[in-house]
Amino acid sequence: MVYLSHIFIAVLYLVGANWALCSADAVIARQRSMVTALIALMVASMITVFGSAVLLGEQPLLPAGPSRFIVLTLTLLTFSVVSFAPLQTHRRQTFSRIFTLMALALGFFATTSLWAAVMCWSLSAVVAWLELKSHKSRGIHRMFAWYQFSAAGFFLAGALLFSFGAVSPALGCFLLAISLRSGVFPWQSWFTHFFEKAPMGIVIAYVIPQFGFFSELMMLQQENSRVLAVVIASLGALTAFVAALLGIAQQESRRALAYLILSQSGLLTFGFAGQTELAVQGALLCWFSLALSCTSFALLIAVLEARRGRLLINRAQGNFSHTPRIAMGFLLAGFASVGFPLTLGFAAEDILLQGTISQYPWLSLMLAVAMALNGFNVLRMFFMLFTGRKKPADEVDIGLRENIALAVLLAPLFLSGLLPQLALQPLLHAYNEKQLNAWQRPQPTMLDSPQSFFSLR
Amino acid sequence: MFIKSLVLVGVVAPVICAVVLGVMLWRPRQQLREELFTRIVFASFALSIICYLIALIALPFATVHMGSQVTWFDLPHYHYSLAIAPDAMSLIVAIFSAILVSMIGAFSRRYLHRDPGYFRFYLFLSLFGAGVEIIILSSSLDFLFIGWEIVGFTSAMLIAFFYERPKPVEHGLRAFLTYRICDVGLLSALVILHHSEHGTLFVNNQTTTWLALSNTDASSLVIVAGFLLVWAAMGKSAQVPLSGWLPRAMEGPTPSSAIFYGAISIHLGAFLLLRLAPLIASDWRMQISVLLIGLLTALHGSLSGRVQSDIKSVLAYASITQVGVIWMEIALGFYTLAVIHMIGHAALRSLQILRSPSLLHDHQYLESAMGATIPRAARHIENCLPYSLRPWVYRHGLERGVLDAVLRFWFLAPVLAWARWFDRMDQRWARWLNRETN
Repeated sequence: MVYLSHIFIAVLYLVGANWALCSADAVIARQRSMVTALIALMVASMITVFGSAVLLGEQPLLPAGPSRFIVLTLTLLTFSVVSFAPLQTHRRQTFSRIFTLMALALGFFATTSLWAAVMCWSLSAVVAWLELKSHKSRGIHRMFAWYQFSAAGFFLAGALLFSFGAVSPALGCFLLAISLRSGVFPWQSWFTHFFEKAPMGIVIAYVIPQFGFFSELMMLQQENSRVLAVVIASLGALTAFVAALLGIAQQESRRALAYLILSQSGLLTFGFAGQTELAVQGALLCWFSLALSCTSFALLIAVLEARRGRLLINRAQGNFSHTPRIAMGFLLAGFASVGFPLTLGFAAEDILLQGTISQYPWLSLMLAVAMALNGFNVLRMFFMLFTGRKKPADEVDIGLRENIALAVLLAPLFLSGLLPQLALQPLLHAYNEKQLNAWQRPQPTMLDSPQSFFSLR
Repeated sequence: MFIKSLVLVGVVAPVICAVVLGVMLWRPRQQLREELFTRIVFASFALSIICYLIALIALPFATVHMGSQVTWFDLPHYHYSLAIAPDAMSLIVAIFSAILVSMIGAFSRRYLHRDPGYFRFYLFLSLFGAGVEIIILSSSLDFLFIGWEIVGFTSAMLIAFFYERPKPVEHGLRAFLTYRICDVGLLSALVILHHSEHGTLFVNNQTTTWLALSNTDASSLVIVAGFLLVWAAMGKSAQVPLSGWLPRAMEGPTPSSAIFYGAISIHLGAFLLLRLAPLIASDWRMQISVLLIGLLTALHGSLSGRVQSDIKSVLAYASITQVGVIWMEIALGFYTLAVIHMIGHAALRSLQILRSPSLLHDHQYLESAMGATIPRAARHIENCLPYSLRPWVYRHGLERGVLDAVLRFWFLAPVLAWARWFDRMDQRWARWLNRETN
């Protein structure tokens, strides 16, 4: 089964990717990308609001379950990324690859087919690698290839083993692939270097859709194993804790951001391993909140970097009086990403913890430390980047285009932070419709007919 | 229902005020009017005060279900409640806090007139007021946590108010780090209390006349949670050994120092202890711990305060000393005395801090009125000490008990050293994989 709404927007993105690539320069490529992203966002909003009554043949146009949020969230992210993307680091090929990565992400979420998922997973790694390879001076494409092609290899191996009915080894391969892709400790090394060197648009398009966590959720739904869940939860909590500790010692803003996102991603891993309805709902809400907040946080760093160059955070060396909107947006996005009260992240993390406390009380304590340190990390970054200098440099604040993109990202977080039921009600409604699609355990007859293997559980 | 609604309006009004001011700040500075900002803050806190006063008057005539709850968000197997506690003690402290915030607002109107940070100050003041009202009137630890976080954040932002100088920023960050490390205690206690099914709601207890955490079935796990909550309170109240941030926090504007470190914020830790009072009373280890922490803090504050050379540091250590004494009162079970002490100390100290910029003027005025030099007072401790001990005590005061150095070199430095070592290894690994030569 394929969700047609995802595929429709994915095709739109591929057309947009080609359109951006055909542009004369990066300025035109960004304009074209914004038009494509805006159309996709409008289509996604219309599908989400009115789509439930529209049927195409026997397939519902609107995807079941939480994937409804995924399509809207990804189109929101794409619009913001192309609106914000600084031209210093984003060429026309980069815009094209951002669209391709987002199309592959939509393809990944659109299908219940394991082979299609393997293809989207692998292709996205190749696209990101091509972007890194085109910036040879940055010199991390080899490291990226080692980690991400290994992840794709393990994912493929897992799929092959799975199709031959060797479920336990397959799950081992999937676990390795997910850990590598998500940067779970101790495989986090590529993650920080990728953040440090790659254009921010590519980073967001590759990292934020979180293939790994959704694969983890599908895997856990497939194999209701307590041991597997405990292993994943422990890895998640350890990642959250270690990344938070490492984050406070960073001297460079991109690396600090990488550890912040890694730590919060560890929280997601932990939540998905909760195996209770409440934990999974909390993790999904957390993903939605993190996707919006971390994207805006990362984009504001990119914007500031375009104005100042490399952003060191070893001492206070900024002044927010010339760029008050960047500063305020930075603070708001940062605190939204760590689940500060009055943001959606607070409700999401509360639900997640409530859903996991009974199963993993001691691991939850590690998360408490991680949450506290991440909050400190955000304020430290803010102070180092926006205070401490007497005479402000002639920096330009964000313009209307970026203001709109920032408002689009932050407004849902703070509105639903004050009234969390606004976000919870549709999520619950969607969640109750149908669980996330899980890969089906192979039956002997399925091996004979590959099409039937791809059906919903 | 009537009282519950009134109190809820009182709590929500400052939150809405902060949101409105935050939205207004998004506009260009030229379009903002100082007068409007001040009026909005006044209006919201005046509304809160009126609501609490009516609730306080109506309290004896109405049957109020203590711990009244309003559902904030709702899931099939879980709901988060805005649990509020309109008991007499909470209402009195809430009214007092709202009045203090309003007075500081009135004072700052002239004190910060045409200051570039005027609007920022009022935004954080209203947010702080909202956080304080939530802490005071919440009847569950879950809800209290929201206010606790807001107060910590606004405190750090106001310490770093003069952001062009590196020192205020450094001190703001230091205070925030202390808060966050102590917040781990509150968060962990929440996890443990939920896990132990003891619950986080404050209830009517025989040992207190206000709502407090129940001591029934106080298992060892709940006692551990109690210790973690004491740890959380230590950070906010600047108790030994975490008191080093408070004198440095005086880098902020005088009105914010008065409201945070003279009046309200510094007492929130003691207020949390009052909410835990039955739990503390039920376990001698907790009682002794709180008593010792209070005693050591009072001694340390008193000794260090005597050798400070600037008035704000003297007042900061005086606050630390008094809060240490309040902790001792709570440990010994003198709860009513502790509440009276808190309110009295808050009123006096905030006045002293507000007057501190005119200290030299006041001093000269007094001396000219007296026609003589003002005699040195409060030397009784010095006089009681043997002569050989005096240099040691003096040195302790001068070094501020070397507490900052101990925390920095014994606890923070090893963590940072490990993180940096890990980072170096990570870089080497990346270089090897990328085949870089250096």
